[in-house]
Amino acid sequence: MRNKLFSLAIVAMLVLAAGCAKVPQAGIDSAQASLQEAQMAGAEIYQPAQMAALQDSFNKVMEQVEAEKSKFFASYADVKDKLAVISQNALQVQQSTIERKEMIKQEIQASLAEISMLLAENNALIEKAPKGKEGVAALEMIKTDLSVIETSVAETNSLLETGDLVAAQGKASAAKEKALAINTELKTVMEKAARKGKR
Amino acid sequence: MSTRKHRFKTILIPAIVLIALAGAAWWVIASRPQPPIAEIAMAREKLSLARAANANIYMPTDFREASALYDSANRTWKAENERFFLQRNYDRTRGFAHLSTQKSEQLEKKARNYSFDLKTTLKKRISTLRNKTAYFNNHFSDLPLDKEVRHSFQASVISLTEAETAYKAANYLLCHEKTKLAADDIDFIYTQTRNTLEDYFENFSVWVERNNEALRQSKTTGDYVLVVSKFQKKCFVYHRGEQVNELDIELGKNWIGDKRHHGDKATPEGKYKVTRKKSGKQTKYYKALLIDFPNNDDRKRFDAEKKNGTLPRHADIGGLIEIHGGGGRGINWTDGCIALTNENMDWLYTHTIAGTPVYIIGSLVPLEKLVEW
Repeated sequence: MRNKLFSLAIVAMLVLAAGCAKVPQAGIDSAQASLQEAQMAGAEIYQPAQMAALQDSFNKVMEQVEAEKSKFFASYADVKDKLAVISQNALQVQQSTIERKEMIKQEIQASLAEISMLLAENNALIEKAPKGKEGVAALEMIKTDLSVIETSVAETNSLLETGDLVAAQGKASAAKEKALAINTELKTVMEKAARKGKR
Repeated sequence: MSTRKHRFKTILIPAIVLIALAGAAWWVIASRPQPPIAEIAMAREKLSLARAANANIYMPTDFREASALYDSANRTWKAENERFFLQRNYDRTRGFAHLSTQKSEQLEKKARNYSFDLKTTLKKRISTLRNKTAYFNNHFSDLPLDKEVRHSFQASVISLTEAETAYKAANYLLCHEKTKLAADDIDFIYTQTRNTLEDYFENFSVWVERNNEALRQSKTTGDYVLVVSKFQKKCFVYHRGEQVNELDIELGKNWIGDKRHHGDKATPEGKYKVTRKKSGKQTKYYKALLIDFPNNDDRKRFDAEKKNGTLPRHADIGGLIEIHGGGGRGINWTDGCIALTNENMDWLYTHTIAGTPVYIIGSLVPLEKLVEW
């Protein structure tokens, strides 16, 4: 009889021990830290869908933790696995955010370099342009247009400094388009003038 | 008998006690408060849908509220789980989850509608602004407007390109911001242009009267009379009360308004006559008709301006205003003269004499028929 009671007590203790499984706090903290790092890297702006999915997964896992706490026999093995996956994915999102930002920065720098070249070329073309009465009037207008591009370049640099890459990218692209249009316009005028000269 | 009784006591009674205990345990477990798993999951899903609809961007305050309600639900759930299982009460948690769900549902709907409306509005606005810049470019690019206006026009074109890029990237808030900037610049250039033109066209009735006078004069004298309409960039030729030709012209860069002084690149307005016909080495612009600028009216106006200080004391009235060849350049390029193509100049040269009247006016067509604001 004593033996039976002893066995029963052991089983009860094992059951209780199983019911007292610990919340994987380290895994939670690690996943949360990874999410914050991704967020700090700018994932919400540059990888919004991925970041939202990560946050959603994390919330779901935290709900699972509380659901397990509500049970008599909690088990956090699945939660631990999921948290590890979230941490890993958050790191990937953080990395891809950094890469995406770097790519945008390079694109902007390339556009700015192109604009700089176009501005130099446009200024050289203005110098070479025919200085007749009609030329002077047209060139004055073009010079005003070039000053607008220079303003856009300055604004792009300010946006780059403040880290507003999306706005900087749009501005650089628009300024490049305008600089190209003026370049084409100038070249057309020069070609016309050259043809007129030959005649 | 006593052995059987003893067995009954040692087996059956503990068994009954155990069954009773198990039953009680089952009853306790079964009747414990149920965790709000489904409600919280629902709140999370709805919040996620609201975020997918960009509610966090379009309605950030409301979204933060829905998010805080979801967090509160989780926090209270966690707090209840810390308590003894029979003492747990999830009513507050359910309340927060329910409120978060409701808020998120409303937000998702609102954000989707807002996004759709914004997208539609922006598409229309971009198109309208594009049309306005194109119209400005086609109709006003040769007006002698301030540098500031030209600068604003180009700035508006750049902002509009930025708006289009943002629109394509579905970044509607940035697009909205850029269209607003473009619209402000476009409003500015249209206002400036409108003011300039409305001021200029205040003399419209005088111009119409001068044109009528020219027609009458050509009818009475039977001579050729020229009417130069600056805004229309035409030289109308009247003979015996009829228009017999219409020639394209080019003017000086600063062609709107009267000529005030030497070097202002403006073409004078008023009643003049040809004083001399030039050809060959007498002109560098193929053939030319010199007119009598400055006439008495011009001198009176010039002297008055000098007297009241609107012109400096050393200002010169200028002269040597001609109708000449060398035109057809597609731009207003002269120093205030009226340029025609050499072909048209040939025709005009043969139909005019020294003394031919020349009326220079702003326009024969009212402003409202020339421009759509």
